[in-house]
Amino acid sequence: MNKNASEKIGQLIQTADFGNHVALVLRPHEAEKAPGPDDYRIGTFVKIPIGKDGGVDYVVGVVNNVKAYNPNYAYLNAGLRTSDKTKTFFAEGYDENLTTLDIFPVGVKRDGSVSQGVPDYAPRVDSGVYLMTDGEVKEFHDVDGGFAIAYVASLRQAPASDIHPEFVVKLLRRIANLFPEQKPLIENLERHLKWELAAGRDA
Amino acid sequence: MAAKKVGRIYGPGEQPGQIVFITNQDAARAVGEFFYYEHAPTPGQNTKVLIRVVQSVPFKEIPVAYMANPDVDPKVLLNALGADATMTDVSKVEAQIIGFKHLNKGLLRPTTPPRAGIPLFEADSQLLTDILNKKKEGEPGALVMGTLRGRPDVKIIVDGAQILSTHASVLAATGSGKSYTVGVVVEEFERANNRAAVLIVDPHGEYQTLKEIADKEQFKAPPYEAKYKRLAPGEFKVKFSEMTFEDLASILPDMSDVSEGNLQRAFRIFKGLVNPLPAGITQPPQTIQGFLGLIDQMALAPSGTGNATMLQAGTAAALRWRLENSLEYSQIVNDDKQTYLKEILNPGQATVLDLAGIPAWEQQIGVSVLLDRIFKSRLRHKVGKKAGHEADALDFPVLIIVEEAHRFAPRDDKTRTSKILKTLLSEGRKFGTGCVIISQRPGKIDADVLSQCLSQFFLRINNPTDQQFARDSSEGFTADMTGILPTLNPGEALLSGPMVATPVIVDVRERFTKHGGATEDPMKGVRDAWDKQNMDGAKSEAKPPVRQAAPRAMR
Repeated sequence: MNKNASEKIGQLIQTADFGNHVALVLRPHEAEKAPGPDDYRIGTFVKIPIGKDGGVDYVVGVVNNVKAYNPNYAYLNAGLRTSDKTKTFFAEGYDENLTTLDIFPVGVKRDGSVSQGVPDYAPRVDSGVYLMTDGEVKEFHDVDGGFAIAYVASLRQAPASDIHPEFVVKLLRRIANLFPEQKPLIENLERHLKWELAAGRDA
Repeated sequence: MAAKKVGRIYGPGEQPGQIVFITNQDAARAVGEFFYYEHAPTPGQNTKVLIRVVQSVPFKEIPVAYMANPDVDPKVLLNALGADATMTDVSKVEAQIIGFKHLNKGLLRPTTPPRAGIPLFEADSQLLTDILNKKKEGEPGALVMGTLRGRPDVKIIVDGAQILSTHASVLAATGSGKSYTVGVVVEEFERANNRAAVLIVDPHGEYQTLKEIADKEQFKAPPYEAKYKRLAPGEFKVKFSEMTFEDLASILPDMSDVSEGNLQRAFRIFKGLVNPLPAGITQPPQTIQGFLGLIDQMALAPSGTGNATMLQAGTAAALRWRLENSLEYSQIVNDDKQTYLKEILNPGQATVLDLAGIPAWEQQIGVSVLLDRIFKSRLRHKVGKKAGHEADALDFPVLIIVEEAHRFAPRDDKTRTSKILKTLLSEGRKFGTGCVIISQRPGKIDADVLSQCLSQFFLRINNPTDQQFARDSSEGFTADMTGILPTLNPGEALLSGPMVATPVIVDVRERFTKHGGATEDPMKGVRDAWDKQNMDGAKSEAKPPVRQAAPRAMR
């Protein structure tokens, strides 16, 4: 589950109003301790500040896909150099491997209150992407004093190209661990979704 | 105070005269409940059109899978998912348009359907009282049966004149309050505004508690005082010489055509209708023994000399044996005494014909003779003919209540009583003889008898065959009413037919008199019997007193 401290793990490089935002994971030279795969597992809740970084208002998103690129084998590089050659030409050279995260926006916290579903604010490109603490995740799921996972409807409606159907099931399992008192309720829904995955929505 | 809105009209229903409305109110979903919408038959003339809920279905259904775990409240899950769980409280309700009250024409149905989207209101007690009742309390013919189910402020008043003229049936499963409801009907007929002459054919002796009407204040309005009479078993007498051939034939069921022909010949001679008498036959005295003697004479009379009417010895012996067997021990048929109609029936009097302990065949003969006599007396009165005996002249209408009607008018079985009942039901309207037919098995009553009862008091009926018969034999029985029958609680009755403006479910009022047909606890009966047999003896035995041990001192 998420760490207890709000830790920056990346930077937003692309936004879409109602669909996935894309974040570039901080590389070793950009952070004292670069985030690793454990920090951005599928289903990780992240926050992207609206306005200034470190501000109190933020868009809440969930990591729903992780993509890794090696510039040696991709269009990002003409293929004229190898990592060995880079080190030769640039003594202070660094690893150019990249990791991007697809982040699906599931809500917003603004003026101290949270709302779930499609956020009506789009974060700016270059905004920082931060891990949410367990406390913040819990706070996000408490809407008007009741446990809420209203964003699940948006996730289920999203096209399969954006959200893998099994993603919701995995996400629910993670939420169930964070909210033990809601476990029977979440498991009920989880069973239903797994049934749909196996037998189809109309079954 | 403005009427409470309970929903909005969605559009016409599937059946003619039905509408569909949408509501989120629990009360508006209850089958049988009444609401109204505003309607203007002519511009500027607003009327309230009453509707009755037929059935309702949820507008949004909770996914079945959300209810897979009984520990999880599916509404909490729906709320967590951001769905408004209160949407599951919204219902699509089908309702029957009852109509609106026209000043001169009574209850009318609007000719145009209501517009979609217009509001539906809770009907207040005054509106319901005005529309649902044909009579006002205290008017002649008004029978206050109780209150509208769930609305103790709305009295349901039945039109007793319709029962007298077009008859009624009381159909219910055993133990659902049949005789209680009939008790209320009788009480209402005996109140000062009605003062009816009521005869209750009571095979089980369960209406004797009606005797209290003679004492209770509710049946007194000086100078009027209701009266009660009970004809105990054996008190009602039919004089043999006054019986018709049909009465006699009904004593001997399953006769062959030959036997019936022989009996008819004997009966014609007995009544002096054969002139001259056949050879060897003398006119017998008008007694049971006289008739039996006539059978003997006919067996001994010479045959082959034009005496084709005579009997074979064997046939005569069999006929005599059967007649003797039935008549010798009869509590009703006798040679001397005849109970005249005015000894039985009078205005402002409830008469219970208690047939408890009388064999079924004899109940049949007694009831058929009595009903036949009532019918003929009323017929004579109507056409201005004098009754045979002054004490048999009924110059007032009579209500006849037949309990356990399946005994007297069984389906697929021609009994004497079913014949006279059919006559009373089909022609009684003209002569002022109303009938109330009571049974726990509508499926076992003659269909013609049941269908002639145009008004119905339905109490709970569980048996599907009986429900079917109730539906088939009742005009104005709507499909939704079938669904109501098994859901009625004890003490609730569905009233339909011309005695009410529209079918209504009524909480039958409390009886003024004690209920005599209450179901007894059989286990209490056997326990009491055991106690009586064993404990009484035990008490009388002188048992040595049990010595109590002295309590020990606590250390």
